This record gives sequence, structure tokens and C-alpha cells, in this order.
Amino acid sequence: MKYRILFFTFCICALGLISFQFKSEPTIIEFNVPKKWPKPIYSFQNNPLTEEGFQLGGKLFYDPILSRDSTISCASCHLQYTGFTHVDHNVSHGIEGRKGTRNSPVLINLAWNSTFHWDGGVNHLEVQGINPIQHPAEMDEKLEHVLKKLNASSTYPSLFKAAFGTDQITTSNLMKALTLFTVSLVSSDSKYDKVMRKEKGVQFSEQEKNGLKIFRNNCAVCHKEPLFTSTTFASNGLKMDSLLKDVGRYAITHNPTDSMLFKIPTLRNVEFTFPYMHDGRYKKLKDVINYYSDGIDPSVSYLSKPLKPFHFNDTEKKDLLSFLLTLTDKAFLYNPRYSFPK
Amino acid sequence: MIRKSSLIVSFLMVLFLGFGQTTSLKITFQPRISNETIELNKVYALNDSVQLVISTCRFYVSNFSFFSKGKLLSQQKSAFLLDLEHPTSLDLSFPSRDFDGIQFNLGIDSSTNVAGILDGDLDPINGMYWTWNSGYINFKLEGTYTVKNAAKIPFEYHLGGYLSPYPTIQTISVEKEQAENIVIQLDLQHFISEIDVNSCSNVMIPGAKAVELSKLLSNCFKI
Repeated sequence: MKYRILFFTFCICALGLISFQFKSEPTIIEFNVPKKWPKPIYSFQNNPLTEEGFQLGGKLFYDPILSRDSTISCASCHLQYTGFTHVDHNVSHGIEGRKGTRNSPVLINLAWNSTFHWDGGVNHLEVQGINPIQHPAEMDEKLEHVLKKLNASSTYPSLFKAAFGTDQITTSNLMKALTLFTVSLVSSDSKYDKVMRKEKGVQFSEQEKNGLKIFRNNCAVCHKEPLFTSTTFASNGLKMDSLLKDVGRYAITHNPTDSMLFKIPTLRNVEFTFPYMHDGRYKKLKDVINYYSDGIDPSVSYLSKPLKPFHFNDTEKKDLLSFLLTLTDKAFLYNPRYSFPK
Repeated sequence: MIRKSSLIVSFLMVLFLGFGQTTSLKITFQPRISNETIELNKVYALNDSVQLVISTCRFYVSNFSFFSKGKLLSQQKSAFLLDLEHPTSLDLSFPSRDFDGIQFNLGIDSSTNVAGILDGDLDPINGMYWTWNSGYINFKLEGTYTVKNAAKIPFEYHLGGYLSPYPTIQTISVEKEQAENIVIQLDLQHFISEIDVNSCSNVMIPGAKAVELSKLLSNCFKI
């Protein structure tokens, strides 16, 4: 009798294992839109969010196989603990130490963006990833060769099979996998968010409260809540770097009024995303506040709209800074789901 | 009983014949120079003093519509990449209809340009996609242009861009009675002869020049 029970238990386990092995449908997971946030731009219509796709995207994100000499991964310039940007480098360096021309942008709440890059040249999250792979100063690799390497690997074909139902790795499912990972990088759990959600026991200090007031009166038009960016383009009056000669959005549209316009970055986790501005010219948040307060030159000719210095006093500057620090989201920066896959 | 089965047989025959009649229509694109189909890397003498070599000729045609007396019969919302390097890509097949006019786009429409990552002929791996300024290159022509006793001028015309005010897509209409095979010629000699290659040997970005050359190109298609 005992043996019979054991035998049946064994059979059930074996069956379970077999059905698990043959499980072909990837597991759909929900994309959580934080309460009161706008509807995401990314629709998942042609790329449903699945656990297998997300995991695969994360593995690819951290794998230097995407670069020509297997030295650079996406994470080389987009580190989780600093809001998925390249901390401490004004412009990022890629393969063989080659330098780019712009400060690597954060990868935060990308689902709510319709354009990517500082000049907005990329029109869809799914096609963004081709840029760093092929850029000579980043991964300097050819798409064909990446696909060849991935198709020949011992691990990737089965992972693609699990995520997309085919072990043939193509541009399309490679990009879709990367998208499922990057689109999932949602930061919505900062002190600011908790206060806005009226969570028990979380309150702004007086200084933070004043900072929020100053922020809403001066900065929020461009750095619009709750994303802390309007996701459009603006000129902040910074003079052109004479070496980088970056004309911003004009390079994409050739519209003279787009000259020196750059995409407004989110301020979420801004405490850790230094250096700041499109060319990373400011190392400290304090420097940025000082620039907006006193450094703007209203005579700069390429401003599409006149921009005046905000002239904050010292207390206002401190208050503003303390508010900006409430945008730090440790649950995001240390979320093990976004970390190097184990 | 016999009558019944013969009815069925004749019905099947009618069906069969009916299907037989809807043979497929073959449309062949023929990029031409000097009234002949272009051979890549061959030297063509345009006249006594100008020599032309085409090394790349690749373009998209899309959204074929078939008309009869001005009425839309059918439309196929897909894009085809035609590449002289792969001559079979120049032959397209459609279900045959009783039409008298065909319309198609030279290039990729704006909704496809913003649709994210796509497969097949629209895979960015085909080298017809700008990644830094997302969008398809509708038409790519590369080669050299040599005037006698002068230096060889390499030219690269990468025409594309979908955003206002510089959309490059062109709609091309041809009138043609139904036939099994239709050849649509693309007179690239005319195209090149209308460009001052010396002063404009490179177009690699969306903009006014890309629009101008795309319009010029659209006038070079004929049956």
C-alpha cells in the first residue's frame, strides 16, 4: 500500500514536471500603472509583457555579448544604483574607451515617453536599442553579427523560445525582449510618491514642503508631475559646448526654432544621476540650482522663449534641494528584479 | 442519381475554372539606364563625356491599390524591399483582378515609420533604416559619376524622412489594363541627368533636398 502511494506520488510529480517542461505559453504579467498617473504611451499591443520576455530582456541588458568585443553591456552606461545612467561621466564612454557626445540618459519610466535621446530622434522604444549596439563610440557592433552570436549561443535560443515561441533570434524579438525589460523600469515609490498617496506616517518636512512650493511655481512647467518631465523639448539657455557643438533637436528636425532644444529629463532619482544636463557639465545638483537661479544669460540668442534667471535666495535653494531629494526611490534603485540576473 | 453527380462534377469544374482564372498578377520593377535593365557595377556611357556606375539600388514600394473606373477594388497594406542585388526581389505577385489602374507608394508611410520594430522586408537589418533619426530610407542609390577628363564623383542618395514638413513618400499611379505580367520601368538615367551631381553628390538625411529628389524620382516611373 505504502509503495503504491509512493508510486502515485511519483507519477503525479513526473507528470507535473513533464507538463512544466512542455509549457509553451509565456506567463503574461501585468504592467502596473501607478494610481493617478497618465496612460502609458507604450501599448504592449505587439509585444505583450511576459515574465519570460522580461527576464530575457534583463539578461540581454546585462550581457556584453551585444558589443563588438564583448566588453560593453547596456548596464555599462546605465547602472541601476544611479537611476540607470552613467554616473560620474559627463559624456559616456563605450568600446575601447571611445567617448560619446552626450550624458547617458536615465532609464526611468520609459513607458510614458514617445521619443528617446536628448534630441528625440528615436520615435519608439522598440527601435531605441539598435542605436547603442551600432554606435561606433558605444558597442560598435553590427546587428547581423549580434544575431549570429546570439543564435549560436548555448543559452539564448531556448530563452527566446520560451519568451517568443521561436528559437530563431531576429532583430524584432531581440528588440522586443530589451523593450520588455527597459519599459518595466518604473520608479514610483519615492518619499514624494508616498506623501502624494497619503501613506501613513510619511510626511514632508517644512523644508521639503517649501521646496515643493518653489518647485511648482518655477520648475514644474517643464518637469511636470508625476513624471517630472513634460517629455517635450526645451532650451535651458546653456551655451553650446565649443567642442561638442551639439545643436540638439535641430539636428533631427532642421527647424531653426528647434535649435539647442533638448529633451526635458525626468528628475526622479536626481540625487544619484549626476552629472547633470545633456552634456553633463554640472557635477552637483547645487550647481544646477545655481545655474537656474543666477547663471542663465537672458541674452543667449538661441532661446526660443525668453528665459529669465529665477533668482532664488539661499533658503529657497536649500528648500528646493531638499524637495528634489524626496524624489529618490530606493525601492527602484535597489529592486532585485532590475539587477544583474542571478 | 447520375444527373446529380454530373451536376456536382460540373459545379466543381466551374469552381476549378473560376479559381484557374484568378491567376496571380506579376508586377516587375525594372530600374533602367540607356533603355536597358541596370547591371550593378557596369559602366554606362550616358553620352560622349559622362560615365555612370550604379553600385547600389534599393527601394521600398508599398500599399498597392487596384482600381477599376476610378473605384478601389483592392488594397494590399504591405511593403516590399526591391534590391538590384537580389533580382528576384523585383518581381511582385498579386491576386489578379479586373483592373484598369494601379497605385502604389514609393517608400514607407508614416504609420509604419512609427510602429516600432518590424520584421521581414522592414527589418532594420536590411540597411534601409535610420536608427538615430528613426525612420525608413525609402530609396537608396549609390555609384559613381565621371565626366571625361575630370575626377570620379562618388554619389550616395539616401532618400527618406516621414515627418512634416519633409515627408518623402510618393504616390505613383499607372494606368494599365489587366495583364498577367506588368513591367514598371524606373528611368534612373532621367533621374541622374536632372541632378547636378557635382554640387549634390550626397543626400543622407531627411529634409528639403530629400523631398525634392523623391519628387523627381516619382516622375521616373512608367509602364
